[in-house]
Amino acid sequence: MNTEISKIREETVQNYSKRNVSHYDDPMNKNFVYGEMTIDFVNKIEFKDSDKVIADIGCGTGFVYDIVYDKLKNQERKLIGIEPAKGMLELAKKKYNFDKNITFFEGTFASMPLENESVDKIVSTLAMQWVPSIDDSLKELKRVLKPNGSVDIMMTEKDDGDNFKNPIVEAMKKHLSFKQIMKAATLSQRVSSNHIVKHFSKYFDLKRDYELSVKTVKKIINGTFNEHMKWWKARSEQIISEVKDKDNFLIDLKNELDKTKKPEGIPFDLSILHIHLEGLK
Amino acid sequence: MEKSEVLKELKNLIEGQTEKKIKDENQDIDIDSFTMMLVITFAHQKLNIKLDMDKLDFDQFKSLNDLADVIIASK
Repeated sequence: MNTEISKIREETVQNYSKRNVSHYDDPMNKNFVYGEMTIDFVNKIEFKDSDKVIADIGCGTGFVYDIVYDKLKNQERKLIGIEPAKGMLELAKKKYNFDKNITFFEGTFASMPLENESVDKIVSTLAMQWVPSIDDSLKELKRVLKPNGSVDIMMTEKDDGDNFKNPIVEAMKKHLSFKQIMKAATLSQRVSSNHIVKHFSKYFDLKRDYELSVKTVKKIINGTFNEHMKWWKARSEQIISEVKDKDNFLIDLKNELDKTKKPEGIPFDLSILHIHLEGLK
Repeated sequence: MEKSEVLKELKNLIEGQTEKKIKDENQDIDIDSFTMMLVITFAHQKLNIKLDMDKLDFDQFKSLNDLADVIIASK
């Protein structure tokens, strides 16, 4: 990806910081489309007693620790959260200021304020698709991970929301130029399990030192237009801000999405990658 | 670069991203906007051809042949 695309992604993260932080913890954003899958993924992560330093990369407001705090709280364990969006970071810090064993830092996948080989377990949910470069992220991940450490990452797969996005693009075509739509297209990485294996194999010796498992999980989430719009608008604020006639855009969006409506509601075709890397040393 | 080479490079690029085989150069490739952006980036970085996004349209991304024509015409 070129520098222009990287810049767009960085601006998107910065914009998250500028928004009112109160809706980051909105139960609708947390629980509707990706929330249940995230909770399920985090609950299934195996935390060993030897995992003394755990880092959540792209921790947002601390959602992962909200799910497993009771399981992980331990005087001998150090929990770290890293997040580039200042607004989310402040909320996470405020939420966990009672526990000195949890520390939150500003940073990104490609630049973590952590020592070399200092982390036993790296966790990340729904963050890696936003990185400007997966290669830069994995290089940094390798640097901070202990040789016998492990990684659990959940990220969107390339086909995530494919059938949901088509009507959105149709509505966008009525309000935005080709160039503006292309800008929206570059906001997140679109990778498959095969792509992920190729990326990891560049930085981790998968034949000798590490075991990698990548699974694609698919699910249909049905909802009303308003339910979908709440999370979609939060995620797509940057592109919506470019639409001049927002009221008519929403009408067009509703008309297009209604064409996909089933008796159960408007379907969103979720496609998620579960990535687990285990150091064998 | 000759058109046949552009077609070959585009086929590899698009098949690599979509993980779907393209049987012939006039087939409707049905690519999403992310893959379109990959094509634009490919033209710029590998062929040194900057496609003018103010003049491009979705219809020009229908087949490999259409795409190769757009790229060659932008030389």
